[in-house]
Amino acid sequence: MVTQYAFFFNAAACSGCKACQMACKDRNDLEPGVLWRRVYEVAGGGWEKIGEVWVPSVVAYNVSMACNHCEKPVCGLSCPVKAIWKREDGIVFVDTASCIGCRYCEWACPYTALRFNATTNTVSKCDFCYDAIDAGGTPACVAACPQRALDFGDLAELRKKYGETRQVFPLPDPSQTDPALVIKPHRDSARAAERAAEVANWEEV
Amino acid sequence: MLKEWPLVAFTVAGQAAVGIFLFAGLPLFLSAGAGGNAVAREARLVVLAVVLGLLAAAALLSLFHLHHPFRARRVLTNIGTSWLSREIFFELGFMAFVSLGLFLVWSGWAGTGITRGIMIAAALLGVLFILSMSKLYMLPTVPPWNQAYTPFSFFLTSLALGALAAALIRGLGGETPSRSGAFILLSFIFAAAEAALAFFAAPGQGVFGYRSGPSLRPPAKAPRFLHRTRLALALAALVLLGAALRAGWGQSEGGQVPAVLLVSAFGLVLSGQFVGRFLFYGLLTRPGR
Repeated sequence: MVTQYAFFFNAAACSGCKACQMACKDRNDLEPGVLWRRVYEVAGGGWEKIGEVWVPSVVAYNVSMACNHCEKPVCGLSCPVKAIWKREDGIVFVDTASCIGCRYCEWACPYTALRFNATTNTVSKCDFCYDAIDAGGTPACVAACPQRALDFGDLAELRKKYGETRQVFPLPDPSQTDPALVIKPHRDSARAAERAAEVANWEEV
Repeated sequence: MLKEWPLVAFTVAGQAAVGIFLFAGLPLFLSAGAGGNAVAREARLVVLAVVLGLLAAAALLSLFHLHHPFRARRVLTNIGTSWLSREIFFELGFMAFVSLGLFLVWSGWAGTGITRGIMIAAALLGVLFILSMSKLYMLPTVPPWNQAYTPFSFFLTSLALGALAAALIRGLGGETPSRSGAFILLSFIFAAAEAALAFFAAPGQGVFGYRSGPSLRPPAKAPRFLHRTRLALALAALVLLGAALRAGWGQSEGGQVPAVLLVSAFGLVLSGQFVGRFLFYGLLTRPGR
């Protein structure tokens, strides 16, 4: 039995096509401006002189990020009305019928997974396509990825398969929330901080 | 940033209420011979009513930041882990004890000892209210707020406004400058400490303040001129408080500190706190809408 569902993201394989983002929007019928999965374009660097030669030192890669259904969900711990709760299989839900719309969880989540829905006047977020999962299916984002850069499953199984990494630049310190996430980093991510990389597509995420 | 006006109003009004209670209210119950004459009774009623009015206004204004205010009755549900629930719990507790004190003073039912005990409990709840307000923002996942600046700033707001209000109330109540002067001096010290804290340690703006690094949060957009405005307001308030101190210095019975100085200083300190609080909320930009 699954005790903690998790996502795997292969940053080395992601082309930034945003098919995952669009599949999520389509499946969940999200309003414009509400994104449960987002693709961040991380970019930095420029040129550097090595000896007498100028060479490009650009770092650029993508990070596809949704709710990480954290083992210590700071959103749920902070919610004053217990509108955010964890299912037995680790999926974190927002109960929109209880949410008071204080938007405190939006501040608390370091992955900016909680998004305000102006139609319901409550926060909303990735629910791991739980109904598809319960029926033996696949989350829409995972199914839509043409590069097979996304995978899902039990966190322990994903760790066995892909390793223990759960943080790449500029993701937060994972000890804060214990995200149910496994990442295969892009080769540029190790040099991203020293080359002053930052998210380059704020208007899209 | 400006969208957070209900939270700005709630936090500043709540902190002012606690400060006014501590400096202008509590001493009326702790002083020797408390419980005595009609003038003392009237002063207590006025101060407690002002505190209660501020708390009620704060609570009402805070509802404006909720998108489902009628569901707010469940806000104490997660008191076990949510500092937001605890903040409301302590605010309601503080309100309840101040209301009880007001009722007892008005009716004259209880003895001095009981009323004094209730007021001390109210003071404790007021302090816990501000402490929980600070803890609510000090989330490890929100580095700009998870700084010592947050509790120091919140408590100094409360102390500066409280001491200044006490000076104002006592000054207008006809007390000699030598008695109200202590509160003017205290408010000067607290306002100066708050201004120094903002200058040196305000996250994102202060000389040594925390600077946000790369993250998945959109960059903050607070305009820089607001920080300078806030410091200018604090400086102007300090000049007026200094003038008030000078005006009251050496005056004996019958002398008065000009009320216009204290009222203007209070307005300036309050305006500075509002600007500072907008900057505080401006440290975080909400993603999406």
